[in-house]
Amino acid sequence: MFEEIRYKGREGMLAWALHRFTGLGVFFFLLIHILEMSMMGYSPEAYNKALALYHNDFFRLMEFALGMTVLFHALNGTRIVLMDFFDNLMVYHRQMFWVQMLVFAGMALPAAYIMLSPIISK
Amino acid sequence: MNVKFKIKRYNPEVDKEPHYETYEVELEPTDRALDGLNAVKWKIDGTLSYRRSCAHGVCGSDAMRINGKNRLACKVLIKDLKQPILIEPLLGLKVIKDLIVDMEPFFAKYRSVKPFLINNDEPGTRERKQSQAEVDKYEEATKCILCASCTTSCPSFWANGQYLGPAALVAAYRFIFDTRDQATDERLDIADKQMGVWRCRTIFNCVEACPRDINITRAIGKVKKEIMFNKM
Repeated sequence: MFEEIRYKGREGMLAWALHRFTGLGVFFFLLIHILEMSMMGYSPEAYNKALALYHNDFFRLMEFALGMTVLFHALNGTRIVLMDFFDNLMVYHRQMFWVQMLVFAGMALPAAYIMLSPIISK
Repeated sequence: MNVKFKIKRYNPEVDKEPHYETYEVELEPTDRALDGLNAVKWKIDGTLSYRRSCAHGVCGSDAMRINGKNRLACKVLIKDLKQPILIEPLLGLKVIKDLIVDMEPFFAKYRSVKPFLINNDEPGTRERKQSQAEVDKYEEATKCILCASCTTSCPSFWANGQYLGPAALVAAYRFIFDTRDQATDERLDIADKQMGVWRCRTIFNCVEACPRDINITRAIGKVKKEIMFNKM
């Protein structure tokens, strides 16, 4: 297993590994999300208590991380779908990955400013 | 120049586990990694085992992991490699000894896509003519030398050894898009199975590893499209 991880792939392998990690990340978030929503079945108080947990800095940071996880997964998925339908693009797969990362940075930086500045300015 | 090699060794008759050995040999910067292996074998340790045949990038015998990625030892120059040069066998295939892996599962997959022309028409006395445009459709895929660099660099193949893998799918592609061939549907059926094209995750490790510069992922993508738009 570790030997495979040591394999020196390039952008494509990096994108794939990140796609898997972010996919798992979103999956685990959904588990927590379902748990927290299911509190509604017990009582309004239990639900409010669960939601109150989100109102601290740690969870704000985690929310930002979740946003970035979904963003990467969505952009990478879009890149793959585009290549699937327009196979000429596969010639430029490395360049497409870096364009994708540029778009990612372009969307992540403003999001970071909006979501994290309340923590930093504290 | 003095060149250091770190080679993964495994002799099932003696060793319980594979281990690494370091060797130092004198080489020219323009020598190839294969020359280094030969120097080790001929001058230091005759028990070192690896495959090589033509030594000119045509037969595809000496595919191995060099500094972490699949390359042909006869195509990569010493001056382009960081030292110590790490030499390991291909991943995903059983190691028989040192750098020799069991290629049989790989060839079995290759055979399973029927990599030969199927045409039931009378052959006639002349060649079967094709236009340049018809040849261009599949010509790239004919360059494959079955070195297994692509298949053994593929994470989908590492995860599931039953996956047909890039090399077999390139062979399928080569005949699917050949206008002289009449078994397109049969091959599309094989590629459409659970262990066929849909296990490709568009990772491009195969493309990076191919010593013949075949855009394998694109070929697999074209087969996927063919199944989607023309078979269904």
